Amino acid sequence: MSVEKFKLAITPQLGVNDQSAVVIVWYIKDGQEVKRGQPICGLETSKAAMDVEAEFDGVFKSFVSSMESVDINQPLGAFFIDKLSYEELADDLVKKFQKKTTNEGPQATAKAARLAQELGVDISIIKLSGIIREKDVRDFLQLSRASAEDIPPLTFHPTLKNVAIYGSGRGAYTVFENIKIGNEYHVVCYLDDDDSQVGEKDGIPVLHSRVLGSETKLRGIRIAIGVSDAGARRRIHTRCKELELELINVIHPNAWISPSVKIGCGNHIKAGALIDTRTVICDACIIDNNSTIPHDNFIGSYSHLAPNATLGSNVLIGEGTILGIGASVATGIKIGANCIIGVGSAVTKDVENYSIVEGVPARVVGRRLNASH
Amino acid sequence: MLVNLSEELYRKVILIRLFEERVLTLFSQGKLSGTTHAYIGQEANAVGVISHLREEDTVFSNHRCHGHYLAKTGDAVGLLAELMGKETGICSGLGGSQHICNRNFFSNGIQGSYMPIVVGMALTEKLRNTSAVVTAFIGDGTLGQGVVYEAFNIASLYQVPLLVVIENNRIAQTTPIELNLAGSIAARTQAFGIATTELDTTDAEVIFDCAGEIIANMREDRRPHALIINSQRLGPHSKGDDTRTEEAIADMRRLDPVPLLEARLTNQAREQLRAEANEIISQAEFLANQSGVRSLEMAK
Amino acid sequence: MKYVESLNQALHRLLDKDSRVLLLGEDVLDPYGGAFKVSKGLSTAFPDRVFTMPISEAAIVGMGTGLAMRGMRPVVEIMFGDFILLAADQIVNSATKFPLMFNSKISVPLVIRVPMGGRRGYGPTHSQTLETFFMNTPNLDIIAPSHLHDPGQLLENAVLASDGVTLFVENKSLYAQELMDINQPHAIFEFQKLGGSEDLLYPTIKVSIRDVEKQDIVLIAYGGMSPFVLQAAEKAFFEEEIAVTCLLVSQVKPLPMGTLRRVCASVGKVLIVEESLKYGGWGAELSAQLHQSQAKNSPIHIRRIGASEFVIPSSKELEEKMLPQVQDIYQATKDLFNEC
Repeated sequence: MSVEKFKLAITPQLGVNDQSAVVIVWYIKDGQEVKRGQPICGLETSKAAMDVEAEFDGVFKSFVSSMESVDINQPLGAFFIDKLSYEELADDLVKKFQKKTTNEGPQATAKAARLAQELGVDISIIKLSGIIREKDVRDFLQLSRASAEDIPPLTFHPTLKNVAIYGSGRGAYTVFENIKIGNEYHVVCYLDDDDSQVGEKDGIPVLHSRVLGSETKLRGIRIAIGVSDAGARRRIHTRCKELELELINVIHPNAWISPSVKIGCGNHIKAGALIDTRTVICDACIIDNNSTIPHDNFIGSYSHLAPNATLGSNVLIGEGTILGIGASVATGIKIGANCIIGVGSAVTKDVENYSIVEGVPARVVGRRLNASH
Repeated sequence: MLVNLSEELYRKVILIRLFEERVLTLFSQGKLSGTTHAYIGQEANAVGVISHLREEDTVFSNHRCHGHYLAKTGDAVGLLAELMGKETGICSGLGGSQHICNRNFFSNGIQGSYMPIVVGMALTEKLRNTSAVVTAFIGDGTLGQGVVYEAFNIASLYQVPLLVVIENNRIAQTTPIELNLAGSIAARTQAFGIATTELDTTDAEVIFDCAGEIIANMREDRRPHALIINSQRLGPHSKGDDTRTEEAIADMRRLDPVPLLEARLTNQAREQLRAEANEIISQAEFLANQSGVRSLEMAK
Repeated sequence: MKYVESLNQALHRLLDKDSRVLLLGEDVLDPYGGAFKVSKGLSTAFPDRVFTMPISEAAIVGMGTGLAMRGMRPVVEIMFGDFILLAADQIVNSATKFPLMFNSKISVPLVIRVPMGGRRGYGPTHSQTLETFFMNTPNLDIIAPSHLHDPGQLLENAVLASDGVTLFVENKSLYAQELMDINQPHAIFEFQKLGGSEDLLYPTIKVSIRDVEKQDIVLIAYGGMSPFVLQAAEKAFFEEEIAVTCLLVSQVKPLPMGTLRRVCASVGKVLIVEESLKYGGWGAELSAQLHQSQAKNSPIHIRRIGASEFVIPSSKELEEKMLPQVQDIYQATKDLFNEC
């Protein structure tokens, strides 16, 4: 007699030609009991987005992390009939189904490893992924010497915490000034992904962001996020985590934040913002001037509350969602991930992932296809 | 009716006989490619059995296949050209005497090798619910080949409409049956549960009647059947390799199927049918001589 | 998906979509489903079209020939590829010969599945790689998918897209192997499916070390040697930084020479690996053809590896000595790299 101890959650086909999809957000945690019909995650392809609902009751285990891609018709998780089966089998199943990603960290050839050891180079910083050969070790040494020469003199503060602002546009300047008002951090430089921005701005150097992985002088520097695009903030957040760099929260001294508020990292909270008790702000959000977040709210990562956005209490805002200027949200409302709430809208009902809503009361006027656009 | 039947059978028998005699002459003149195996003396078997077969019925024959081919198709022109290696031959000169294929007629020079193939062909007829029959001709010498028994076994297991005609001419090339074959032929097929009929005759009419009944039944019951015909080879195996005594051959000539049929014909009918056959063969020889050799381009 | 599952599913699809397809073989009926389970479930799903056969390999292939000549698309299973020699006459003197000697008046669309290869301890008569015996047979295709091919798709091509006789070689050591998806990024290798007009149905998979511009050596192999050559290529790269391109051929005969020549000519050093006997083997023909094709100013250096001239011992340790191993391929790669 055999009882099936688990059933697989299969990645559905979203569009006709899609081979894979990205898990944008998990709504449930591993080990959580889920009911049939309950949304478990948000999926996105280049052309469409949807929520995946649980097909079975059970204790859930995911095989992919959020922002990871998964092939259509391949398992993305499993429902176990009980906690015991979960404990017994979950790890084995993950091993069986977890996709072998190419980003498991770099691999070095024996020759490269020997050379790196001889020259005293830390092989793990040469490349983030792929294969490291002898040539890569030599190239790296040459490049880091050359880039050391290229980099203008950097001034580090002896007592304040030194920070680089990722981004060099207008948003970055606000971050720059906000940091200067306080007396905790010293801005060493801007970083930009765009070569044409490299040079000097506001009296400090602008470096290309690629030096983050290789320039030894910048090792251990703290990073402030100075870009407003949600997709870019997501990328910077991921990259800094990979490089094990600390992302600081930039908080204007005139923002009011209750002591019981929990704040992640990489956020920018501007002048006049009010955040009341037991509210949670995740990572890499922008809380703009005069936005009001009363008690017990939850703001997902990469969200942006524009000036004068006002929430009731007990509101949940999903990852990457933008609230327009003066938008208001009634008490207890849940807004999904990657939504846009139009300027001046009043949200009185829950909003699904990827929705665009507008008006008083707010109605769905569209769907977003790709969060970063 | 009887007179007409004798004439019809004789028309085919005499065509085969005169064709084979002409082939032996041409062979002596060096006009033939390779070798030939004359069917002289066994003509009644081919004609008696094949006269009941239709276009859709398959015949698979062996190295000694000219008689079977002529009985099935009447195509002396294509056959003679094939023997002479000409482009207009049945297989454009590629197959030659032992390897011919025309519509549902096949022959191959490897003894017994096609026995499982005809089982597969007969199985197809059964799966397609046709009334067609597949007929294979083998000789007593071929009973030494193992694959023949693999085929008997499967033909019986799957009950396919396969008629196996075993022409027992009591000699395998130069080796007499006493040195070649132990036990009985009929017991071989019977051991596999195949219905078996044994005939001891060279009379085309007797064979015709018997084969007619067997084939008619097979079109209904779709089962395999074996027909053993004890016969004799009056010519050599191929050419100049007959080790039998003159006396032994002379003795066999008494059972020659040609005079047996001729005795039942009027002189006029006999002469007319002979003349017709000769005309067909001469025409075939003329056309074959006219034909060229096909081109064949290939790398070496 | 495993190699065996891919083949099994292909047979289900074939029987389902084309009524001319039939399956013949020894012990193919459920619940057994064939010695290596490739035929599992077929007799249950298609009871009238799966035929269990007595121990008569010649007759099995002969029957397949007869069925094919009458318009069916039979697939016959030889339990162990070693037994194919019992049907050699059927293949050489009938099935492949008829279309030629009968001046193309008939065709014989027949697929003969042969599980070949050792490494399972089955000993001298159940472990051989005998398809190379048929290198000399005109009008015969020999197809042997690796675990980087889609074995089921190749089988479908052989059954439906080919009008001739195909010896479909399945290396027994691959049956349990997970197929490698060449469309997925790989940590070490990059993949390319090669296939010109001459090898369209049965492509060659080119496996190169990722992000390396200059390849040092071409390694040519097929079927069951594929996992071994990939391991050796990985080892050669990580230990010696020798960049090896592996060409995993699925069309063993006729050789896809156009495809192979193009890659070999640009690299110049070629190691041919086969599980069958080296003496008079597949690699002998391949190396002769490569040698003849070399340009005056860009010579091709060729080395070969194959099984030793002996029986395949049953003992695991002895069998390993007899058949090519990763270390043998790695060593030969190093030698070729250093010598030429």
